[in-house]
Amino acid sequence: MAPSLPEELPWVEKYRPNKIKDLVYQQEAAQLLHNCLTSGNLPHCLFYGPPGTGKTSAALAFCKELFPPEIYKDRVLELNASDERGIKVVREKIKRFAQGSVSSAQFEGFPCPPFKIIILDEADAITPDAQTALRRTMEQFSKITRFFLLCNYVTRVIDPLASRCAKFRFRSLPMQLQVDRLRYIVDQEGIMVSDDILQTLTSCCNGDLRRAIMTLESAYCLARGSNITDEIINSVTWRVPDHVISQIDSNCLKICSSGENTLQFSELRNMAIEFINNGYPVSEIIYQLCEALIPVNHLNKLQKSVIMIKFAQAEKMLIDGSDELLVLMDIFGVLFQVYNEPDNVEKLIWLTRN
Amino acid sequence: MKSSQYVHFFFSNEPLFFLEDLMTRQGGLLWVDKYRPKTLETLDIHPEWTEKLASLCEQGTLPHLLFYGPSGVGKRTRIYALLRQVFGIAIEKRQVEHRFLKVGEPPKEVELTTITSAHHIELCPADVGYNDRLVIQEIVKEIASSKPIELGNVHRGYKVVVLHDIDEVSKQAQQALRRTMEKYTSCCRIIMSAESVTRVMEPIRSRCLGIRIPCPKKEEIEQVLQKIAKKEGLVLPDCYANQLVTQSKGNLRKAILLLQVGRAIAYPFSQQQQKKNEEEEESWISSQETGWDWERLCYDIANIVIREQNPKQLCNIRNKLYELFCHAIPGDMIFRKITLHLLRMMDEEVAPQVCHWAAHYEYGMKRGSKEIFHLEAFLAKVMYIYYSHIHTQYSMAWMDD
Ligand SMILES: Nc1ncnc2c1ncn2[C@@H]1O[C@H](COP(=O)(O)OP(=O)(O)O)[C@@H](O)[C@H]1O
Ligand SMILES: [Mg+2]
Repeated sequence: MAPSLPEELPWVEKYRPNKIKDLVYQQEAAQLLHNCLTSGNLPHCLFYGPPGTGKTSAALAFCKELFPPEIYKDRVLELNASDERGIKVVREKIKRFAQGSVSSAQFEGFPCPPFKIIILDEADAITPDAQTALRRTMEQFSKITRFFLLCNYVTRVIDPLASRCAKFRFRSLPMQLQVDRLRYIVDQEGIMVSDDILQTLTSCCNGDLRRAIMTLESAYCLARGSNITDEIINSVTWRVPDHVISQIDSNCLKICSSGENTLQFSELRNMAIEFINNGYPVSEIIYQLCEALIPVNHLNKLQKSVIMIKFAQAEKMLIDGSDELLVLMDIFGVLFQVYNEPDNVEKLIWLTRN
Repeated sequence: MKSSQYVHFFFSNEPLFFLEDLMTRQGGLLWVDKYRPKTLETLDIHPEWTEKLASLCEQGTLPHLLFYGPSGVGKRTRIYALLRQVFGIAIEKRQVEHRFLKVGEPPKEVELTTITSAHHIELCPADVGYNDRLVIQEIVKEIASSKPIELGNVHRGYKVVVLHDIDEVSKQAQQALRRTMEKYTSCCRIIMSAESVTRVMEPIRSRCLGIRIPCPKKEEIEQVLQKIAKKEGLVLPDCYANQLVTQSKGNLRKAILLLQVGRAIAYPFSQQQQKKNEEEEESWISSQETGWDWERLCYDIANIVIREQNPKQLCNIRNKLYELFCHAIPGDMIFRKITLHLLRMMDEEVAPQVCHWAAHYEYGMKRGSKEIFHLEAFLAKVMYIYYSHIHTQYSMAWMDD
């Protein structure tokens, strides 16, 4: 690998926790790992939770504290979704890695317990077949290996595998802790950023700290040393601007209040085309529209339920690769009818057909 | 590279055969290539991003980037301009390579086309089908293991991998990119382009800076056209330029191609002002000889559905659909085009239903394998809905399923 230039590292990597105690928020996992540092006892572990909550960081930091760099490669094997993970390959690789005996050499300041660690990152992307095979491998080498399974969705790890591990849920970081972490980073970098800005930044990142750090760095670069403004933040987050979202609601309202004879679906149609032309991701529109519509007063419960069911269906269609424009127009079609006929129960229910 | 983006421009249209013929005779280039701006400063549209991208380059650390927006808005051009800004003139010495790459265990050979310079490599992973994951890994590892080159005063600690149409690659390939993007950040940056970020998974999005490139404004397209016309020494009347802009629907590449086609078959351009409402304009454009063949077919199909709803016409439509498939037009483009025409022509009362069924059947098409079934089913459904609509006073068509 090319020599890494530390000053060139993006902040996400630069400020990845190097020690367990630097890990923010995930107390349970941190506690276990910390105990293990002193006791040398470690079960197989399963970390699950949304992206950017510290799963990979926790596992890596732990290994770095356990083993000195000299023997790190002998003791830690990291396999992730980018590696070949067919059944055979997994077994071969793990076998080869696990076979070598564990030297009893001790190093000052490192516990060096007598086992090897295998980190399976993005474990939910391993095929069920390969997972089954893995289960046997896990048993076979249980004396000298410990597994870390990291994944987003615990349900996608087969039960026999999951039940062999101590499970830890990594939760989305609360706003304030994220802000604190960002504050720590800007202080280290010697940059002036107001709390408001950090607040705004985290609020558009859905609890994903990686995304927050990423966004902060981009915003800082774009600001060229001057103050980071809301406008800059808007251009670097993945969110659709709020005025775009509120435009949908206000247009629907306008149309349904204009009287029955002037149905103007074409206005919504044009709006859909415009959104697509502007490159707004429909998945994001759905997500934000959902947030925006839940608290409003001008829709009744039935209306809201119908809309939410539609959103769920649409999201599924998008994930399966449906055309974004058609899905968006379909959503607008439903919104149009829902806004127009708030009390037509039969029809509203019919709208949720699949 | 990606079918939906290029096929209809390069293979399926007589005007373009004509154009290619013309090019070979004159030894010329397509104007879209000839007048592609090379540096950030010379980019004509989206000035707001130009400045921001320039400041990104000034910093030592370029993040991973994902450019997204509709087809033909200049994502690729912008990526080149950015690379040019970062690495200087060396980036322009590009080499197109046709290679056979050995990937996986057991190794298999995969054929792909890459474009390389001293500082970057670019490819379209979706081209290699289900091997996309392995190819991406192989390429990134290859780049990561070769040291970045120092050239003159340009010193960057990294090389760049450009992955086009990342939304078209498999889920596995995207999964695989996640950790790779983190692991190799010290020596390589990944720049991606996508038409639909919805299909780019969340963990990838959260690892890069997203750059949304919207369709250029009408005036912007017109300016670009005028600029090219001037360089080519053409007289481009405003009204003609206007038509091209309307016809291009925000797709800058298409506008420029149309201008070049127009130059070949309709020069000098007509000065006549042809002001019409949207509906007329649409049909007028569809009947123009400079228009794309496949668009005219879609228009015809929509027209048939509106005029007459019976099995005979359905057969008629089937022939036209086959013709479209012969032109290798992707099903989702046909779906989109026909739906938009239908919505424009129909009564507003039935529009929401048409939208529903369009999305419904297109979804079926994406999951099924025979595109024509789903298109036909959709059109039959619309015929039925429309028929009931015009033949019952109190339309209860929404009740039928
Ligand atoms: N709990 C946390 N404490 C400190 N930093 C964190 C935490 N969670 C995420 N981060 C930051 O986000 C980045 C990504 O975290 P990572 O562990 O890779 O997330 P994932 O859970 O997706 O594996 C890290 O580089 C780090 O800077
Ligand atoms: Mg991770």
